[in-house]
Amino acid sequence: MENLNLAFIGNPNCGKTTLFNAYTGANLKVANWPGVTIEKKESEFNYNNFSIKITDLPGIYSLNSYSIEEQISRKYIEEENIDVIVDIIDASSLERNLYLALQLIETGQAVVLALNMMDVVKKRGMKINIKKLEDKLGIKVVPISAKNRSGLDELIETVIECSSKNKADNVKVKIDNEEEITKKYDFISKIVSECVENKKEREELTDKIDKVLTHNVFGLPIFIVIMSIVFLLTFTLGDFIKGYFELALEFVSNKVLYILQGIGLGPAVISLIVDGIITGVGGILTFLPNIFILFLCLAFLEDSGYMSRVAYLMNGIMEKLGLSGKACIPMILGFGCSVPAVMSTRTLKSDKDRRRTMMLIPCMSCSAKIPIYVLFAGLFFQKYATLVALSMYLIGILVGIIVGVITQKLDKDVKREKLIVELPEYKMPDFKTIRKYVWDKVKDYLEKAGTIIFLASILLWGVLNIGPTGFVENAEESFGAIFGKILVPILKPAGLGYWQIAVALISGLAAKEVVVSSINVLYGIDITANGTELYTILSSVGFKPINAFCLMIFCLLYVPCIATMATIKNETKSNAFTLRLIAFQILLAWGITTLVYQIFV
Amino acid sequence: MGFMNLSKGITNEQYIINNITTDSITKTRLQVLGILKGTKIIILNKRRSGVIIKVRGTRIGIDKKISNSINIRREEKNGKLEPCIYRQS
Repeated sequence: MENLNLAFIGNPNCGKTTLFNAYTGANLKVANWPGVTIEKKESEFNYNNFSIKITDLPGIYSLNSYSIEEQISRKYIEEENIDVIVDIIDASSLERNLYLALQLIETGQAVVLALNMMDVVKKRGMKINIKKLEDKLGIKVVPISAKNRSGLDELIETVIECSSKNKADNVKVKIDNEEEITKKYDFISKIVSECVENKKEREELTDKIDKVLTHNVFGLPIFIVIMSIVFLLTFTLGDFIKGYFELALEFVSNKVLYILQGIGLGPAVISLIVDGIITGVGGILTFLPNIFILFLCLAFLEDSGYMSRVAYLMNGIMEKLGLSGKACIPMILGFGCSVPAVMSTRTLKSDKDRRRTMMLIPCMSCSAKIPIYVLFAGLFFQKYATLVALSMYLIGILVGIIVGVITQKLDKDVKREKLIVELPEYKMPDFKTIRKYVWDKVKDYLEKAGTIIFLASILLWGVLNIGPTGFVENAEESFGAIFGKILVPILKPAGLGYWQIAVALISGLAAKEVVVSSINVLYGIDITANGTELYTILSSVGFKPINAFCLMIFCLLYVPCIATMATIKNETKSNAFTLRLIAFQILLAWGITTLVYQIFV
Repeated sequence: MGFMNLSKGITNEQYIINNITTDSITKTRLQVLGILKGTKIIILNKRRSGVIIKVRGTRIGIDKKISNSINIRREEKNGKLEPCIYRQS
């Protein structure tokens, strides 16, 4: 068995990830590049007598070290012992993609070009003379289609063939100045005119779609409609499927209770398992359909190529917040989960822009808050439930805009990074890519339910069942109650002056979904009782629809979960910024909720 | 004749880049994408906040401020403007 070390490199949107997934399937090792939170994906597989290791480098346009991604790639190429660099090229935009290829060839390292998207090229009636291209560039070129999984074996065969030949000892990346870049592009233009036949500048399907989607008048309204449909689907379709999940949970819960009683366990243990764990964790699992649909939609928007259009469309509005249109993408991802959203601010080059975007991300209501909206809007606003839930998104966006405008006014020397964004060809999202994206998120959610929410449920059960006097029957005498009551006066002006709510909100720091499981546990709700029980109990203590509305707003705006805060700390490497952000979010949530409550009560 | 800023160009028309005058980082960002002096571009879309151009077969969205710093001219051959296939559509 011979070892072969490959590096995959290419422009953003060249289909590199699809190709990587096609080779590696599930056999994937994901870590971070040293010192940064950019994902480093590695995978190994066997081909004939070779054990092949692929490292997926970040998508970049050049090796001129302008961005972190470029620095990582450059360092890797110079320092690691790579056998062959596989440069994945989008054949449908050959000219731009060849610039990076020339830089790579210049390093002296063995390079093989994988000419991807040959299916698109053929459809356009273009012809690329592979032989001529190889002659001009002096390296091997293999036509492939990552999407259709064609040419994959040929590519590996070629790579193996090249690995035995030229291997450079001292690999050095040269940084180009203007003159050198121009020279390279002149050379490329020449190559392309000689190797590509039938290269007509004609209006393509993407241009036709763009005429509508980036339309000067309708572009933004269409975007708003698309996002509304996403959220509408999340709530309506999600809730429909959720009903079946609840039935399943009820069945399991009853069965477990029956079995436990059958074994003859003590009431404390049964209470811990049924009231603590099953109510806490199980309650969260029933929201899986909502989460699934949301991430499915986000994956679709991302993979189709629409997201970069959003960056372009929103550039004007984001400018008013002192940010570039690109900052809009992390914010949209924030509707899914703040953690990847905070990480995706990496695409912004200035630290200041990144921090300001991170400040706004928590205002974009994340999917973990969906259970809270679904439960409380459903109980207290019956037929207006979906409308009320959707209003949370609007309120969040509105608050985000206000915060953005104010912070931009306070900050005198805002140096906005100006937008330059590639608008890739629209494409039918790749099934495998979407499946992987959605499965990763669903897995995260399940893991969260199994770990953080599981532990939080047990902890909460403990805090509520143990008091100064030991195991207490009445939660009023528990440590949880004692602590919660301290916070009641502070939360009262916001319409949330109940110790149970105080405890639930604190437990929500672990993960936002925990607020819901906590309330179930706190009020001793049998989750299988369709929620009406909770409504009756809450109503009896004077908790009205306006209180429910305030609770939702508070949850929308207050400190994001521990995972998000840890990510923000990691990304900014600043305790001070993270702490300031936490204090700011708490004050913001309290202030706005109090305002709303005082106006409407 | 006909020198102007990119933001003043007409949608669906073809131009040649004359000069780029912006900070060096932004300039490099444009250059590696193949947006260089002498490069042919087609303006696909214009908004108050920016433009989309087609350059070397790819579409790039550019902020208004940057497009103000890109100087372009109409391409002429024998005193006639180069026809652009985007024009009639």
